[in-house]
Amino acid sequence: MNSRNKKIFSIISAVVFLIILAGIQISFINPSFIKINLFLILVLYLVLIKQNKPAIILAWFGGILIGINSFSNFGVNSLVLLIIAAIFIVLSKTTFLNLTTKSIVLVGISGVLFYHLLTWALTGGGNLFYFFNNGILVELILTPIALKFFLSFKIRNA
Amino acid sequence: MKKSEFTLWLFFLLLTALFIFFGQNRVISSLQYYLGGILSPIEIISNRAGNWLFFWQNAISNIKSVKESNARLLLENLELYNKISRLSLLEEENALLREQADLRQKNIFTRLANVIGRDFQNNRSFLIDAGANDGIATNMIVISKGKTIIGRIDNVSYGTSKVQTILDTQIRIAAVTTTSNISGLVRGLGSSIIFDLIAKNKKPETGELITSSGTDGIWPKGFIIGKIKEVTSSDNEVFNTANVELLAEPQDFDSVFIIINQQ
Repeated sequence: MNSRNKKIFSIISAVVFLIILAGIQISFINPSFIKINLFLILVLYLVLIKQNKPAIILAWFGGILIGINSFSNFGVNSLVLLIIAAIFIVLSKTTFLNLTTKSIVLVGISGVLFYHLLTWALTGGGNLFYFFNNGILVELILTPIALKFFLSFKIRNA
Repeated sequence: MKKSEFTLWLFFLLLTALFIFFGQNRVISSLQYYLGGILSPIEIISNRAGNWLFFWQNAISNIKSVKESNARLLLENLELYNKISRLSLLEEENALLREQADLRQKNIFTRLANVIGRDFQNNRSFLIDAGANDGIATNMIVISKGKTIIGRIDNVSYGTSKVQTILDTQIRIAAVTTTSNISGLVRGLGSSIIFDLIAKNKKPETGELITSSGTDGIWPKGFIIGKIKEVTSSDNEVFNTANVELLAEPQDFDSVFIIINQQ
C-alpha cells in the first residue's frame, strides 16, 4: 500500500470510527447515567497532544454528527466544539505546556464548563440550571479521568 | 495558533455559520437527512446494546427488591387463585339459585340441597344434606335444574335425606309423550327405565320426550323424565313398551332441588 492509498484508507477509517462514535454517543451514552461527551474529550485530547488540525476537523465533523440528534440548531454543536478547540489551542501555547495531572484536570474541568456555557449562550440563554444540572457533576469527574487515561496510554506508547 | 491552523479553523467556522443560518436550505436539510440515515443502523445497535446493558445493570442492582417483589407476587397469585376458585363455586351456586327463582315464579317452591353420599355401585339412591329441620318430608319430589325428575324422598332424618331415584324398581310414574301425547307408565328397572302400558295401537316416535302427566296424584305434572330410545312391540303382548333414555344420569348431579310445595 503506497502512502496516498494509506492516507485515503486512514481518512475513511477515521470517518467510519467517528460515525460509530456518534452512534454510541447518541444512543448509548446519552440515555445512560454516564454523562460524558466523547467528542469533547477527543478534541481536548488532540489539542493536548498538539494535533491541532485533526482537533479542528474533529470538532467540526463531530459537532455535525451529534447535531443530528440535538435540540439546538444544526451546526451549533460544531460551533461550540470549534470555539473550544480554538480556546484550548491558544491556551496550550501559553498555559498548558506540560502534561501534568494538574493541567489535565484543569483542561477537563474548564472544557466541560466552557462547553455547557457556550451551548447555553448559543441556544438563546434561558434557564442556566438546565445546562448545569446533576449530570454535569458526573461529566466534570469523568472527563479529566478519561483524558488522563488516554494521555497516559499515549505517553506509554511514545 | 499557526496561520494554517487558523485558516482551517476559520473555514470550518464559516461553514458552520452557513449551516446555522441556512439550516432550512434543501442542500443542508438533505445532508442532515443522509447523515441521519448513515447513523441510524449504528444508533439502533447502540440502543439495543444499551437497553440490554441497562436491563442487566438494573437487574443486578435491584436483585434484592426483585426477589422481594417476586415473593409478594407469588403470594398475590395464590390469593387470586383462591378467589377464582371461590368465584367459580359462587357462579355455580348463583346459576342454581336462578333456577330456583325461576321455579318459584311458576309457583313451585323448592329447596336446594347438595348430594353428600351415594349408594354403593348403583344409582338407585343417594344422600342429600337437607332433612326434617329443613322442611323435607317423605315422598317429596326431587328434580334437577333442567326440571328433570330425579326421584323422590324415601327416608328423612334430622339433617339429611335419602333420595330414591327413578331407576329404582319401586318407582312408578304416570307419563305422557310430549308430541304424540301417548299416555303410559314409567317404571324403574334398577339400572334403566321403561315407558310401559302404551296402548297397542299407539307407537311413540324415537327421541320423543316423556313428561310426568300428574294423573297418578303423586308425581307433579309437566316434569321431564327422559326420551324414547326404542319402542318394542310384540303380538303376544297386550301393551307396547319403550326403552327410555335418561337426559342425565343420577350420578351426574352434585346438587338437586326438592319440591316443597306446588300450588
